[in-house]
Amino acid sequence: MSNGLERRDFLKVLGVTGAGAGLTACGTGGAEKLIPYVVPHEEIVPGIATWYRTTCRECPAGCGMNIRTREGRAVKAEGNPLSPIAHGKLCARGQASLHGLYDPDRIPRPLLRSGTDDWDRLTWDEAERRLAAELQQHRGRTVFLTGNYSGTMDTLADSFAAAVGAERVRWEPFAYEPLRAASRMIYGVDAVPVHDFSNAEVVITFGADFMETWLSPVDYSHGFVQGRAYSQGRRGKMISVTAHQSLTDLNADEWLPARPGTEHLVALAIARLIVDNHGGQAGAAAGLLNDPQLVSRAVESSGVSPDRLRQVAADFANNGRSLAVGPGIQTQHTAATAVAAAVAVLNQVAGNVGRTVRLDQTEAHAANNGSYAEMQQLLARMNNGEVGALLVHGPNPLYNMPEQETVRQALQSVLFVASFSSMLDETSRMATLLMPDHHFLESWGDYVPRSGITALIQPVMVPVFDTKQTGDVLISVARRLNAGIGSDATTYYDYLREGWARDNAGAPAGGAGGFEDFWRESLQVGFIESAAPQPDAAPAAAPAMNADMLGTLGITEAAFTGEAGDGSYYLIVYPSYRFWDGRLANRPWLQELPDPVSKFTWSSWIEINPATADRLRLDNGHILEVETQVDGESRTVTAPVWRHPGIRPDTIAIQLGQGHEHLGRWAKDRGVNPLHLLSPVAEPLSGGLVYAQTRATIRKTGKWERPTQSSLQDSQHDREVARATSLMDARYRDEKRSQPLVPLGVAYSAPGYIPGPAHPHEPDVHPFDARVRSLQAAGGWAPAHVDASPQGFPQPGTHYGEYSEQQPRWAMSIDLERCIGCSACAVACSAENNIAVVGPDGVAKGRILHWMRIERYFEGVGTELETTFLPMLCQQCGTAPCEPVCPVYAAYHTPEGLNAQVYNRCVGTRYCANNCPYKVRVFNWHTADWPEPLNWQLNPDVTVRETGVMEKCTFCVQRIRDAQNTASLQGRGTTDGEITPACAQTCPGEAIVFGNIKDPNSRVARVASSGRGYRVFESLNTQSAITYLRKVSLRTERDDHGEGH
Amino acid sequence: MATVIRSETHPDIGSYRDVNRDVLRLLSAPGPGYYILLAITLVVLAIGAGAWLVQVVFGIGMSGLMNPVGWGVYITTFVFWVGIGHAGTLISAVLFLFRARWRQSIYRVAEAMTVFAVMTAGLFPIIHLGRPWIFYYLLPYPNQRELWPNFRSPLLWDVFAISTYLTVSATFFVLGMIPDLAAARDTTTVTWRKKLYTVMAFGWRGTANEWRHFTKAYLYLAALATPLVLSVHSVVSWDFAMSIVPGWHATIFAPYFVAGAIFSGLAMVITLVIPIRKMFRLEAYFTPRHFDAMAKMVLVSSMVVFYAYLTEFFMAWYSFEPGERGVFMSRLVGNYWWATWIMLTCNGIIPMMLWWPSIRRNIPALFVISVFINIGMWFERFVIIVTSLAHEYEPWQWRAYQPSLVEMLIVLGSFAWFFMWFLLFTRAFPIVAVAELKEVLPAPRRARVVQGGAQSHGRIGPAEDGV
Repeated sequence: MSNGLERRDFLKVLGVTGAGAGLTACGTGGAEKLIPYVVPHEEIVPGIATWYRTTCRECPAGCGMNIRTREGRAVKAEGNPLSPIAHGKLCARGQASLHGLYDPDRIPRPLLRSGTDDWDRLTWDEAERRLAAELQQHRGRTVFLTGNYSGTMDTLADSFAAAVGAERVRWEPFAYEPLRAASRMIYGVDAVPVHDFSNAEVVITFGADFMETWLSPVDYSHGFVQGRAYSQGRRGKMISVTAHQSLTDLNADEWLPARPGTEHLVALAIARLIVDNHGGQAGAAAGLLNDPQLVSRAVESSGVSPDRLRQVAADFANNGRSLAVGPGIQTQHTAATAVAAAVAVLNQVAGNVGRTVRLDQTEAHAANNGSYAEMQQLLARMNNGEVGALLVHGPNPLYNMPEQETVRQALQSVLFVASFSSMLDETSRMATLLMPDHHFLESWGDYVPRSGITALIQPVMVPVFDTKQTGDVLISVARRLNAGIGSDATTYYDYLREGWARDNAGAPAGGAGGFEDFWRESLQVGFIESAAPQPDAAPAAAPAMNADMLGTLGITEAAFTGEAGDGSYYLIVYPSYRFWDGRLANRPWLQELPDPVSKFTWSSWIEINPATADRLRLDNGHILEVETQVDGESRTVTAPVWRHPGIRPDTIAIQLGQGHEHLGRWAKDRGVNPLHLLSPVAEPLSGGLVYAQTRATIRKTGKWERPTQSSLQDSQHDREVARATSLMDARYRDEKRSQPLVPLGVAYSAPGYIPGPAHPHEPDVHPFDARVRSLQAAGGWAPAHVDASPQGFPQPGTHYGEYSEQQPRWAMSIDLERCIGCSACAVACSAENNIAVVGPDGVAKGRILHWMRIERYFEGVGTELETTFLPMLCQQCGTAPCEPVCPVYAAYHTPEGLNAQVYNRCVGTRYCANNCPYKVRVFNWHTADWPEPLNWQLNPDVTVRETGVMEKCTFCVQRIRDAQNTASLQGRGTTDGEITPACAQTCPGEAIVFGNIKDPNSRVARVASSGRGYRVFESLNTQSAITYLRKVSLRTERDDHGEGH
Repeated sequence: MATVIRSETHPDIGSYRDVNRDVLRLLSAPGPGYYILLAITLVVLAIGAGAWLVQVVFGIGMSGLMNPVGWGVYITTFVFWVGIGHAGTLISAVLFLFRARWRQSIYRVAEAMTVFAVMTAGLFPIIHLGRPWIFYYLLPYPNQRELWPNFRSPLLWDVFAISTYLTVSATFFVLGMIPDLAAARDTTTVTWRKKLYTVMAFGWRGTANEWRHFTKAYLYLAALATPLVLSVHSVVSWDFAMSIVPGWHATIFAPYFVAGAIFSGLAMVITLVIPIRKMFRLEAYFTPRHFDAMAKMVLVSSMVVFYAYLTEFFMAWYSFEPGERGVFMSRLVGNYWWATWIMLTCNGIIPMMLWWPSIRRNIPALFVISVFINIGMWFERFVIIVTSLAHEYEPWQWRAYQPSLVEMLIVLGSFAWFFMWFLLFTRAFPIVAVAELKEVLPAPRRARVVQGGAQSHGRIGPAEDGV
């Protein structure tokens, strides 16, 4: 093994232990003591999983995590159900964090540069000695550049910097500078408030991709679904005001495609209309809103009709149960701070501040992020030779800043660059000394994601490589330099505990057992709440706005460089749900995960409106060249076209995150980095990089490549796979089934909204099913009556295969109202079930192996665009078409009604896949390759499949068996909710419910009884076990009962 | 009397002696042309075998198959060869039972074609497997785990249908050759041939008793083989019809496939016989009358097949089922419109030229038409299999399939495999049924037996009073 991991180390892994009591599900041990495996340890029983609580650091949101380990290796990441940020859920990035842990391209040990691409191996002792010497030499001229630090590590870094005479510079590429600047100006606090989506029935987003990267995506997605999704006849509403729709915007019920750079005008116009028509209190913003031309200016510059503004205002004035958010990266233009301020005004006017926008609670992780402007100053000083030594931990400016040449020169003009990066990324490749940090799953630490919440990070296994935690390095180097850091701790672990003991001296959780008990309990919970004393008095939930500062905001359109006119398009760059700012691009699961919107994998693409594309005769996969002018010099990138119906015709968009020159084998030379097209401009008010800054011209290259999309279809044609219904119809259906109903909440005054027929025609029977039933009535040989409700399991008189009445019937319900298309389930499924990655060629050929896919269907054009997401997985049919056609019984029916697939028996005729109407069976066209140590992640409970074998969703049968075994050992049956498949476990919207549908009290039976329930391809008589619940569409009455298809 | 009596079917063959000379002379050392042809087939076969090896080593992914198109040109070619394999039995058994006397000279070639075509077809179910090394899981062999194949699966029916058909048609083929091989055994001087023919002639001496048993066995085997003509391709069609794939799931499939098989098999016989006739100078044996008769059958089966096409399109429209309609619309105008139109043109339109007797008797024209039909019938199977899978119920998974190089080489290799066997056959065994042909020739007359229905040596067949 090239990474130096030997069998002996593996045994050490097995021997990892700690001081945990092991009484609860979550262990507390760490990598502190090693015990030889000959002494069996209570926490490590072969075949039994051990769980550790820690905190996700894949993005700054800081979701609580449960890590499942088997025989000393982390095999699965899940959300911590106690965490108020994760709610037990994780996004796709969190699910893929294990690929960061086991990334074979991690820097395996300390390295010292010996040539352009040559590195000498060092021991940690040598590396630290070298670092100490350099720090000694460059004392006073050292800069310590860090990313998003908080908690103890931040304290340590400060003490360290002070002790060794270094200056700290913080920088995150997505630093929310406009939000902080607006907050400073208006409320006088440099903080970003927490947004309570769960109490917001009406949400307006001005480019904030809060389901993807914005502030706290998992919490916000979770809350958004709680707030909006149809429940007991009541439903919220979401409006998106952007030129380009990201995943978040596609979930909106209404789209106001404002011209780029005019979002703040739209926000203020809506605020003004609320003041005028709905009794909103302008308060301190009165001066700003008094402009009589405000609405007409907004209409004129944004291109949004006054009627729609009026209707949105009517909806948004919702008694403090609404929420406006923005801006995000895609709307971070030269007036981004004005957008943030306008959003604050809008929230204030609608009475949301203190309710859904809470300034007493802040997104602490967003506060201390530095800014792009500070980074530019640092570069200038480096280029002037003012910096002798640079220590980098976290940021990758050479990739994440547009001025790459400047960064490169700056790095070259620093005499000594040390990087703590665990990846050989663009920046660390320029370093002299590499001192790779542990992955966060190997580290000790704490993190403050939100004010009042301090989350703990603990190692879940011994390190994979010969890396060292940066905190330990700092302490050790400081000791070598005899520089005091205010503690006698020799390890970061001790330092951390010291700090916790100090900060929580009188903590109530301390209990009788003192600090040790408190510490252990905190580790088991994963975080503590409100323990750290606030340095200054907590701000009020709804402080007053500063009218003077508001007056200084110049409310003008944002400026865009580049010639306006035909053939010139606004260029939007926006963050990647999968790769964040690009740091996660070397995760094969994330590269393989189809982008939730474009469904591209392993590639970049250029988003262009279909009308524009038609005019230019461009189809998906045509290679397009985008050109901008930067400092009078032409910059170009080329990428394939994707026709995005959710983008203005005068706008094009490129996603961030790809186009790495280095980083790792999966990220390198893949796609393009659109930052290359931008000028290094900071917004004057906030100091944030202006991402939306220029127009671009496009040029056809005449080339075409097969798009690496997981599906080539955007429309469901007339197949009605993903169904929707109107709000009134949904209420009618529920009423018929005696489901409880509450009054409507929101005004719903949008022009597209049709409340739905008062007396829906034929509400329950699809015309094809009606035909089937008429055939039955005539005595024809036709499928039995199909009932999507739990009573339909199993169909009377249809005993099938081995199915046994005495056994449970595992079933699932999926509420399309609650599915936001984030695809976390797909990654969770890959992680749980050892699903192989097929690479770009495989995806382009249609050989993606995902058992679970999110189908994304577009209907309508322009502002009438409606997007429906549908998770598709094996339907575990009662009468499965796949089973009888298998000649060798590899596909068979279990007594519990599952369609089992016996890999060892499969000879690979692929007949089952041909005969599956849902097309959820996937085939291993080649034997998959998991480069060491990526294979360490493989779930030992699930077979790894070889070439020539068919596979598909099993409803996580290993989890079912595990729960059943546990229950039977305890002499009981399984209880509802005890078994959760990986997809349902991680779904931020809780769209997926799993259970035994024969138990009428199970959650799945209750959800599936909804009037919105239906099954896909019911008329094929597959008697599938998955009940989908129709999406409730406000935009138009999407009638799925035939007529006019 | 000196009147020369000419055979009605083979007017240019003078006597039994002519037959012996023309046919048995072929059982000698061939010329260089033959070896060149054989070498070509062997090289192509080796390439195909190499391609298969690549596929076995690197995975079935070396083909162009993907989701949702799990079956592509392998199964297309499988069905194509099974279909080809139908004409032999049709000509040798069915026409035998119907007393169609023009079959005598042609049936040996057709039977050989059948056996080799089924041998070729049988390769593909194994080639297309994801894990061909455990193909025997498909067989109901006794094992300790008490695991049996799934008797509900049409693929298993296929295993039985194809193996039965191969057994019966090979038996029929070998049995029918016994008298001829005995004659060859008695005339040849080459050692290996002598040994081979001795074994395969089963000690045939030509006694009356042997003839009686022989004719009965032949009759019964013909009767046994005849239902197979209908059943085998019906079972193959059920591979598709028993599924719920739109475009496959149709009750018309069994008769449709049988008609298609006869159609393609007859076309293949024509394609094979015309060059043989030319190369081996057997014009007297394969006369325009034969071709005319076969062309008529081609014409009839073409119309049956075309009717089936129209029925399918009509039923798709009439079904009111979006999946079904979608598949047939995509056939006409979708990704594979060209394949559909090749199919319709070659199988439905071009054969209509056979209404003209002059074309039916025009050997070069017939050859061209038959090649077109072969192409068209290959594409028919391609259209049925690929277009349906590429455009099923679930629109998210619509995707077109493109065969890979490996796949095409394996298909090419299968043709080489077939032609290799066929070439070997032409010089190893009598390609015309000598004994049976003699039956339709005027018996050799001696002065004292001018008339009176001599029971000649060459006579086989049902006890019927002779010519």
